[in-house]
Amino acid sequence: MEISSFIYGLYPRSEKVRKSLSRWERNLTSDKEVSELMYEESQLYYKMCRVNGIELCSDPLFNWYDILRPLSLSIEGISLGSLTRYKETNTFYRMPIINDIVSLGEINEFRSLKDNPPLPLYHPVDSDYLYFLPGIESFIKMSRVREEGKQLRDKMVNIYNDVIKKYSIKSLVIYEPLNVKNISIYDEISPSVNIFLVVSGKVDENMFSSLKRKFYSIVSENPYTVSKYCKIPGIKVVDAFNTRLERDAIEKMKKYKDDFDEIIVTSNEYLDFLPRVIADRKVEMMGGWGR
Amino acid sequence: MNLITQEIGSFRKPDYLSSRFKSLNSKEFLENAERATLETIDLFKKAGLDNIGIGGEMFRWEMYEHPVRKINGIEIYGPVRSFDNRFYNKGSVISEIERKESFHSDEIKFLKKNVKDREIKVPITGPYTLMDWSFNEHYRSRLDLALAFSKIINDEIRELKNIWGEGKLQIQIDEPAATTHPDEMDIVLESVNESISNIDGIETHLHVCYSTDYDLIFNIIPDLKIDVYNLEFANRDKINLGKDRPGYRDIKKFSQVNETMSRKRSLGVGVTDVHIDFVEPVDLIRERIEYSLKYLDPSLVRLNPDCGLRTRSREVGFQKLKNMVDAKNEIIKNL
Repeated sequence: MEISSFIYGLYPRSEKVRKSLSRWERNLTSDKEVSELMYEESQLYYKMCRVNGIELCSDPLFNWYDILRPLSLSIEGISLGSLTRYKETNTFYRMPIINDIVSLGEINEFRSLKDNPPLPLYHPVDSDYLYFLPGIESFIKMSRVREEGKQLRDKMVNIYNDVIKKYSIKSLVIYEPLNVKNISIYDEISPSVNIFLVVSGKVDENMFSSLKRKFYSIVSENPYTVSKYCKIPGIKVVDAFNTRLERDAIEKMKKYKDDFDEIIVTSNEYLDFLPRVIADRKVEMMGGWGR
Repeated sequence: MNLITQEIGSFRKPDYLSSRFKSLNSKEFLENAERATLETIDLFKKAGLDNIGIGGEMFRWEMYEHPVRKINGIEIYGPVRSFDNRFYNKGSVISEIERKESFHSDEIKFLKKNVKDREIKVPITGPYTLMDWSFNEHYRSRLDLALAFSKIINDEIRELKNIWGEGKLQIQIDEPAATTHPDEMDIVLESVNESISNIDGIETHLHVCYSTDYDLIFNIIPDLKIDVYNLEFANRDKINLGKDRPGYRDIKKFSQVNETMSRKRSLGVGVTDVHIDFVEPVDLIRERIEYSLKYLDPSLVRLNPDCGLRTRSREVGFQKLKNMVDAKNEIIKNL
């Protein structure tokens, strides 16, 4: 069985980035300066992943103040609401208030924002780069919505396809932090894109009813159910809510060796809930698994 | 008849203390923290508060790291994000935990010596919140870790009570995390009760704020060994005048629970929002109090800000407290 380690979503900021953003918040450093630092730190992060042997890593999103924020601020028709608890954690996000979904603003060039460090949305290194977006269903559930329904979902899908077009995305991580009942919405995402879908909670067959698409990977608690709907199933063996290193995880993976030729291993949540030093150690540990 | 006005806990530190809090040597720190405490108590007295808390928590940097730094078995690897670019030092429990020194004895000794004409109330971070805000690398379960914190807090309260000596000491268990995991209310109940068990001569308070579901707390009130519940309400209320106060509707449920018990519990009603600079006018606070009194006997009502006022400037904090006291004074004229 071939194992690929996968890091996704917000990655903890270094001390240097934290201090720089703190100065930026107090108008002691410019948008340009802080934006350049985000680029440099992202490159260091990719290098760290490469050196450690991580096969798959998405953008560390150092300039995202929360998992929804830069996207919310880039869509005309969405404003920011109050600080809201992210799931059962002690971390908070600004709840998007969706009045309408009108259009997507500039996201792939430098742009100052009011309630978030400047864009671009991503800091890609090459054309095989793995992009990241929050799941559409969770985005809507985590927002205050004036009018929910198919029309809203269709508009969100259009926005996601616009993001894909603007960056010419070939590979995309979509993370649904909340439990969703059905994922067929992703049938409408451009078929040329390889999607790595990370889902939360229990998975069952109903989730995939009427699904036409085959994902590149679906990461879940149950690789057996999802394996029919993707090329490579993924499992969560690293705990993003505990500083303990999962030295015994390799044993857990062995139980799948007769059932799958390839498997992706990752964490149960993005690693931003850990101190940076521990996240780095987990990356180092995960990098060794493929070998 | 009086309606007791009280502080919840923290108040904005003066610049001379906050800007050098972690770099002062111990002698300088004590001098500055004591000076800041006296200045803050003076503000509270000017505002007219009956209970001055612990003088604004001038000895503490924040509610988690302060006790955790005084406990063996916890390693702090680095900060984790709270929101945006705000971080806090979240500890990892790596072995059996035990208290290595008192968290708050220096504060209480200072207050015992310097405050004679006001009641005090000591806020202590609760066992469930300490557990929930820590990484658990050692204990078998979240319950086991919460109970280990309970033992430590129980020891701390005993020490504070010994220092205080005769007379009732008010202890406020701060549990902002209490309702964040709805399926763990049994852990909240057991750990809070253990933290205050078998200690005579204390009045127990529980402070919970920004909960999405106070029913979770109300459901366990009959079994909790708590005398006073200090809760946040103003943040969820509107700021225009009117008899209906949507932010305070849960008070009816609290009173319904109270009616089922022979020993009544008191409610500390949050009447001013600590997250906004808008200083609620006296009329607005008065309406909030009047609404509360529709459901509770005045003897069971205390008045406080929603939470600690550390997020507001000292000027805004003072004005919010003063308006709260002025509103109370208008009401008690008619009681």
